[in-house]
Formats: sequence, C-alpha cells, structure tokens
Amino acid sequence: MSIVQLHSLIINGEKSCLEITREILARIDKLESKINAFITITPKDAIRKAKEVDRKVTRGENIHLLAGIPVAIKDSFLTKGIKTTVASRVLENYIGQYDATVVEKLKKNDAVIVGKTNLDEFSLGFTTETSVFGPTSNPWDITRTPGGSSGGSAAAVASGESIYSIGSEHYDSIRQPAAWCGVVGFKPTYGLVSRYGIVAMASSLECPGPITKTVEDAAIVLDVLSGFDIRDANSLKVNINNYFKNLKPLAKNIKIGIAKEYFSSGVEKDVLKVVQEAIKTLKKLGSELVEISLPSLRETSTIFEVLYRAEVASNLARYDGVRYGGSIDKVKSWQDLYLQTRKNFGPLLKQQMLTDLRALSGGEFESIYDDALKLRRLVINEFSQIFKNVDLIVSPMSPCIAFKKGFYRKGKYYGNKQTDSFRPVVDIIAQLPALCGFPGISIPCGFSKNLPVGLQIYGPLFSEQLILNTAYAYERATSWNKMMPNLP
Amino acid sequence: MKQRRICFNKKDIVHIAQCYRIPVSNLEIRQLISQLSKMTNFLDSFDRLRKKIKKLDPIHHVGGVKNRFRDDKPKKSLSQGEALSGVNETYKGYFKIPIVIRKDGKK
Repeated sequence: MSIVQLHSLIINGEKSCLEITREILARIDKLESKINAFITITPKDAIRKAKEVDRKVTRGENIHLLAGIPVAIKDSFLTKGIKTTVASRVLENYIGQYDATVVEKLKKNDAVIVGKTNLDEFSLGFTTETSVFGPTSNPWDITRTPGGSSGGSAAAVASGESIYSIGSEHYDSIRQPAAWCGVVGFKPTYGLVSRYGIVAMASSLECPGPITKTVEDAAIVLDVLSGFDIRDANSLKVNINNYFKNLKPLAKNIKIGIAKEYFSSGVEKDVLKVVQEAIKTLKKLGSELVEISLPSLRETSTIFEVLYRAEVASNLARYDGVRYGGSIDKVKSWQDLYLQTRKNFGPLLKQQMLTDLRALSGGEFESIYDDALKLRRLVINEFSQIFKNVDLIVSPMSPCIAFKKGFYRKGKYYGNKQTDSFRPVVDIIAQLPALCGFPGISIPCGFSKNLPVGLQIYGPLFSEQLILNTAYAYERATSWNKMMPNLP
Repeated sequence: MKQRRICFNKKDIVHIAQCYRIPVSNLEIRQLISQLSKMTNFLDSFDRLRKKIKKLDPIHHVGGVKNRFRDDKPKKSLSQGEALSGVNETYKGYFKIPIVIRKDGKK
C-alpha cells in the first residue's frame, strides 16, 4: 500500500500505526533471509514511535502524511544512536552521534524508521554486491541483483519490507535500483536536499532522494526532504515544499525530447521495446515529442572519473582510525594505525583510493580537476541550448534488466562483452545529466523477461514539479506500479 | 601540448601505497598498475578537448552557490562525551592517538 492509502486508513481509525508497523516488521522477519535488504533493523524504536503517533491520532491531533508510516533508510545516512556502517568493515560498529538532516526531517514528521538498508560499500558500486554484509537480492528474482548502490532501499520497497525508503545517488544510485526493482526513484536537483550527515563520497554530485511505490508518494517525501540547510554549504536557498499539493496528472503540451543516442544498439532490444511503448503512451497523453541530439561530449566518464576520484580520495582520507573505532592500545605508531584501519577497506575501495590519491598528487596532474570542472560547464551550456526547445527528456533508466548475482566476486567485477557495451549508454543516460545537477525520476514502465524496466524522465534544474506531473500522468494511465513480485 | 602519458611499475605502486599508508597485496599491485595506466588514458582525452574549454571558467556549483558562510555565532555542538562516543579508548576525555614523541626522546 502507498503512503496516501495508509494515511487515510490511520486518520479514519481503520488501522493503527502500530498494526502497520507490526505488519512491516513481520514481513521483514519473513523475507530477510531471502532478500537481505537491511543491515540493521530497529523494531523497538519503530514500535515506540508507532505507539506515539497512535496516541496523537487518539487525541485528535493533526498528523503529517508521513506520520506513523514505516520508512527504511540507506545505511549511509547518520542516525543518532543507531549504527551507520556504509556496508564497510571500516565503520562496522560506528554509531552516529547525530541525525542526518534528511533523518531529522523524517523524524520531525513522525516517520517510523524500521531500519537501515544495505548498499555497496561506501556507495561505490551498482549491484549492492560489494557490501560486507552480503549481497541484496532482487525481489523479482532472487538470483539477480537489485542494482545499486541504494539496492537495499529499492529492494525493501519492492518486497513490501518498507512502505518507502531513502536512497542517495551520484548519478543513478537511486534510480537504477528503482528501475531494476520496479519501483519509483527520484533524484532531486543538486542542492535541493541537504547532504548533511551522509557519509561523504563525491560531494559535488551527492543527491539524496526518495524511493517509493507511487509518484504521489515521491512528491510527499520530497516535500519533507527538500529545503535549505545551513549545515550543507552546497545547499540551495530555495524552499519549495508543495510538490504534492501541486501534483496533477498532466503530460499535455509538454515538449519531450527524444534523443536517438538513448535508443541505440547499446540498449537491450526488449528494454527498448518497452520504453518505446511508454513514449507512445506519453504522446497519447498529449505530450509533444521532439527529436533532439544530446551534448556532443562523450567523455563523461572521463570527467566523472576525475571529479569522483578526487572527491572520494579527499573524503576517505579522514579514516585514520582515531575517531571511528580502531584500537589505539594495540598499535605502536601512526603508521600502524593507518595500516590497521585501511586494511579494512574492501578491495575495490583500496584500488579506488590509491588511484584517486595518485590523481590528486604530482605536478603533472595539477590542472586536471579544473579541466574537469570546465568540461562540466561545457556540458551544462550545451544542455541549456537543448532545454530551449524541450521541457523534459526521456530515456530508458537502464540499458538492461537486473544483472544476475555474481557480477562482483572477490574484489573484482566480471564483465563480458555485453555488459561492457552497456557502459557508454549508462554514461549518457545518467552521468551526463548528473554532471549538470538535473533532477530526474525512474518509474516502472513494463517488463522484459519478467523483470521490471524503468522509464527515466529528467529535466533542467528545478523542473521537479513538471517531472512529477508528467510521471504522475503516465502512472495513472498505466498499471505497472501495481505489479508485485511473486514473494510469499 | 603537455605530454601526460606515464607508465607505472611495481615500484611506483608500492611507493604510492606506502605514502598513503594503504596496505596492498601483490595481486592488488598488478591490478593497480593497469588501473593507473588506464587513468592516464583518460587524461589524454582531456588534452583532446583542451581547445573547446580554453575560454570557459571552471564551474564549482551547478546551482551557482559561491562561498557560503554562516553567521559567526557559536552554536550548540556535540558534547565532549558525544564526540568521543565513536571510539573504544579515550584518555582523560580526549581522543587517544599513538605516541608521536616520547619523554625520553626515544623513537
């Protein structure tokens, strides 16, 4: 059930928050051995909160739409008094001393936090297989991955282990798992939602956002999450908190850009068919389709590699073993302490850190970061020309369906010719708009080989409402979001 | 044009790993050599684009935010106890770190 449906049951006295929370906890209990969506489950806190909201309802107090509704939070967001591990040995036992802004806002509106969800170690990855707590399964086929890095968050919503969840992405870590798990994932404009309290990786790209079952729910959660935060220096001074109020199923007269680059041979044929069908539906709903060409730049992974590596290296340098865990009594020197702490990073992260750090040092690399930022401006300039002619752009969210488990094994990705061919498409689907900080959504739009396919709709900065309205119109005209995986 | 292509060997990787205090195995060293070389290829593609970006300014925030400062007023922060709660061992209310200089001057 959606947030909207449950809220009406709660305020009409048909169901208590405690009942809802207990049902979700029972479902987690039943499915976790198969799905492994959670790293930490917090039943006591959840039940206490649910009872508290029930008392408010009994007293006749006005409650928020999110009050008493269970939510799962990616384990990269700090939660006061609850472990935040980022799926890494480095922070395995770390308990946050404060709440991330996103968590604080959810708590303020009486959300019931049922647990912290699995992710790729430090959010580095796209299959949720690099987690030290084991891989998460895709609820539609447990032999497959849910995508990532917010794979646990997407799987929890798809399997009914949570009503909605919170994820975070650098370029597709909310929306790609949402697509692979058949749920709605929303990435807001960069800076619209505060990053304060997220275990930092690539700071200039990080965007927290909701994963939900419906577009309506995404609008509700976005209303709560968005807004200026003095504690995030990159937070934008805008306060738009009426996405839900202004939500209308309206795709009429919207100019939708169709880029041939998104419909290339790098996309699986069946996925392409499903997405083209979805575009036809948008046309039927009154959208005007306009052919466009994407920015000419194809070196997005280059820009990304540089920005991402530099920022990750600088953010991960803080793990020296002094402030987070570690046992000082057993080490003889600083050198020892560093080695003891950093040996706990997974193999991919170690590789990443070393190449990152090398990238940041040495005279020959001095202007690289600046060049990357100039190229970033070039992409933005080219997109601003495109958005003079269209309102939004659509594409498949992923060029393929969920990967089989085992793509990552023992410190290595095992790609093949086919998976390699997806890479350049992912670059233009996700990285290109992410470099510009654009908002975007992935909504379920059909199935390929019985696995969900996501439709991406993205637009210029602050086009959240337009994206939501268009997605809402599509959702109302179809029934893909009502499909459920075949779980006990 | 500045030539950026650089070759890496085992010695380089061991040196980098030592500088950054990250332990690496022999297998990891082999993987790192190929990774680092790949990265310098990325940089080659930057050189190809140099002309295009010559007149552009680097962008530091997609939303145009610049040098954000908060008011210089003290705010409530974590208590000493809270700040220390993430570590196993403390010393008189401070973070404990390995010895840097001994009283007797020995290393």
